[in-house]
Parts: sequence; structure tokens; C-alpha cells
Amino acid sequence: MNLLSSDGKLILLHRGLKSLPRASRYDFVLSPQFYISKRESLPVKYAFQAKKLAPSILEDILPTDYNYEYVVEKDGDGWMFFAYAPKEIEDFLKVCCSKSPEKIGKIYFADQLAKVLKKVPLGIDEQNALTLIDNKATIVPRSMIDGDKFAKLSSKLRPKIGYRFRTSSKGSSDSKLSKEVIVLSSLIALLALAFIFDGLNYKKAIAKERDKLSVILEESPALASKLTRDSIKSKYQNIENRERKIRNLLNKYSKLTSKKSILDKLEISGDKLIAQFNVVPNEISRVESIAKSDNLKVSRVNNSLLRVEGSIR
Amino acid sequence: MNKNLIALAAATLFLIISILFSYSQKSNLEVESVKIAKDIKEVKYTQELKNLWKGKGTKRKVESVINSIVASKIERSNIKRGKADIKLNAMSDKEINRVLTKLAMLPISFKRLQIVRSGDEFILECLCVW
Repeated sequence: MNLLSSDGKLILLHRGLKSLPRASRYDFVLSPQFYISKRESLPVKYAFQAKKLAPSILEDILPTDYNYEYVVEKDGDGWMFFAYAPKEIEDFLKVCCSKSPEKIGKIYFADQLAKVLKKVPLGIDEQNALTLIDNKATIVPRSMIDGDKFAKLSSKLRPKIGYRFRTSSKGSSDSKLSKEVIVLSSLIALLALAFIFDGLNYKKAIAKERDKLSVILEESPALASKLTRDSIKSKYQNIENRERKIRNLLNKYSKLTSKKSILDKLEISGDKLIAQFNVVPNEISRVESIAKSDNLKVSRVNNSLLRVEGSIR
Repeated sequence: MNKNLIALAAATLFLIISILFSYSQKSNLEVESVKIAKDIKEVKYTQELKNLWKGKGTKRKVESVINSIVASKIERSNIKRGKADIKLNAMSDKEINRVLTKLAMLPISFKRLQIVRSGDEFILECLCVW
């Protein structure tokens, strides 16, 4: 399955065609039965200019039964003009092979095979063959051709330039999507939807997380603001730190008291909690070492008085 | 241009956009989760701090501590509007220890605290706020 290739199965389209092999798309080499061509030397440089002139150049030789599409091709110092009737081709394919115009990919003209036909005629069926007469591709009975060597149309003989088939209806063949592409695109779209669903779930999860915060903030709406929160936190954290230190120091000082070490004085002075202990002289070193091990600042006032300081900042 | 190609390109583009959307939402979730968890933690902590120190019911608790002391030992006890100015005299070492422990257990801030020994007795003076 080649989804992106524009090449279809190459078939020579002629009036004797009875059926077509199975394929998703066909590229047709039109036999002269389906188009009219004319070589003309014109003083125009570009194909689009030549194409504009095509209707007037072919006007006299075209039957009026159909609407025609025109194709021009540079041919040496002149231009080859081709005209085909899409409706005629569509009708023929419908009758002979029950194929819809959507199946038609590119079209080629038998005259584009001139180089091949110069060497060897192309067999069409058992009676007829395609050959060059006066440098124009023509269908003739096989019996009229000398020799019995006939080429068979294959992809090797595909002309270099192909033309998009213009259907008689509004949409072109390219406007139709192939089933494979529809299926593959649908699968990709489904996968994409799965990712979107996944993304939406993440989005929902974010919303749930935010809801959790909202529920907590309902109790204290003021704390929704980071600034207010920081201000309140800073205020109470300072109190918390100071008071915890005071209580911690009181706890440490209580460890220093005993029958031989009595609290003499305790006070908060600035950023310090100072305590003075009256200690029995032979105990003073022990109390001092306990205080020091608790990271307290210790100083001896005299032989029995020990001053202990702790920071509450 | 081939419509098949356009359809496939559109579907692929849709897929790429949806993958990017999904990944951006996933990384958003990771970032937001961390941020929200941090906010929740901070709000809870601030609430706890505030509830602890805002002093709801503290006046009653301080009064109960002071009322447990023999009246003759209370020289001064002014408890009003988040403030307690207390002076206790002739406290034994056990009494001073008990009062100080009870006060320290309350969410109050000691603005002034002074304990002075006089013989076997202690004088406690403190100014607490909440």
C-alpha cells in the first residue's frame, strides 16, 4: 500500500477495452480515440499562454458533443495541443468497466509514446495496434503493420509528464480521499484524542489540587495572599522562636538546680535570660560543666555564685 | 496538492499538537503539585502558628494559674486585654517551680520575668502578653 504515491496502474484506454484489473487508482494512456491533438508553431514562450490559445486552435476540429479540457506540451520549436472530453472518458469507463471517475489518477496521451512507437508498435488487442503514422499516434489493424513484434504497455513506458484528470463534475479526482488514508487519518486522530483526553485528565488533576488549597483557605481567606501569609507567619514565628528559647532555657536552668545548687536570681535582660545560682563550692565545677555542655555562657561571680546566660534571640 | 497528503498531514499535526498539549499539562501538573503542596504546608503552618499564639482562652488559663496560689502571696495580679502583670511573694521553691512550669506551658510571651530569692522564699514578677 503506497498512500502518498500519485502513480496508479498504467492502462491504455481504447474503445475495445472490456475490463480493468483491480487497482485503487488508474493512470490512463489515452488512445487517439479519446483525444484530439494538433501541432502548431506559435510565438509564445510559456505553457500558460499556449493553453489560453488552445480552444481557438482546436476549435475547428473538435466535435461539439462535450466540454473539453486542454493540455499543451512544448514540442521542439512549436507546441502540441491536446483536447479531451472528461465526460466521454467517464461515460466509457462506467459502461465498460463500472469504474467511477474518482479512480482516475493521471492521464497521458498516446502521442507522448512517439519515441517508443517509432521503434515498435504497441499491441492493443488481438486485432489492433498503436503505431505512428505521419508522426501521430494512430490505431491501425495489426494486419497493416509489417512484422509481428508488438510492445506491451508497462510502467517502464510511462511518459515523463502526466496530467491530472479533470473530472466533468466539480471535484477533481484529487479531492477524493482514499479509504486507506481515511482509516489511517482516523487512527491518528483517535490517538491524538487519547492524548487530549490524557492532557485533560492532567488539567483536572491540577484543578483538584487547587481545590484542596481552596478548602484550606476557606477557613482563613486572608492567608490566600502570599504577602499577608508571610507577614502573619513572620510575626508569629518571631514570637514562637523567642518563647521556645525561653522555655528551653528554663528547662536547662532547672537541670542545674539541686539541694547544693539553688537558684538565686533569674531575669530576662534584653535578649538574654540570665540566672544566678548559689552553689556549694565543691559542686561549682560540676554545675559549670553541665551548663557549658548545654551551650550556656557561664561565669563565676565568686566562689559560690555562678552566673549563667542564654540567648533568647 | 494531494488531498490524501493534506489529510495525513492534518491528522499528524493534530497528533503532534495533542501530544504537546498532553505533555505541557503533565509538566504543569508536576510544577503546580509542588507549588500547591508548598502553599498548603505554608498555610497550615501559618494557621497553626496563628491559632497557637493568638491567645484564644489564654486569659482564663492564666487566671486559673494565679487562682491556684494562696491569695496572701499575690501582691499584684492585673490580668486584662491580653496582658498579665503579676507579682508573687513568699513563694516556696516547689510553688515557684509549679507556677513557672504552668505559665511556660501557656502560649504567652514573657515581656518581663524576674525571680529573686530571699532566704528560703522567692519573689516572682512577670509581665506576660498574648
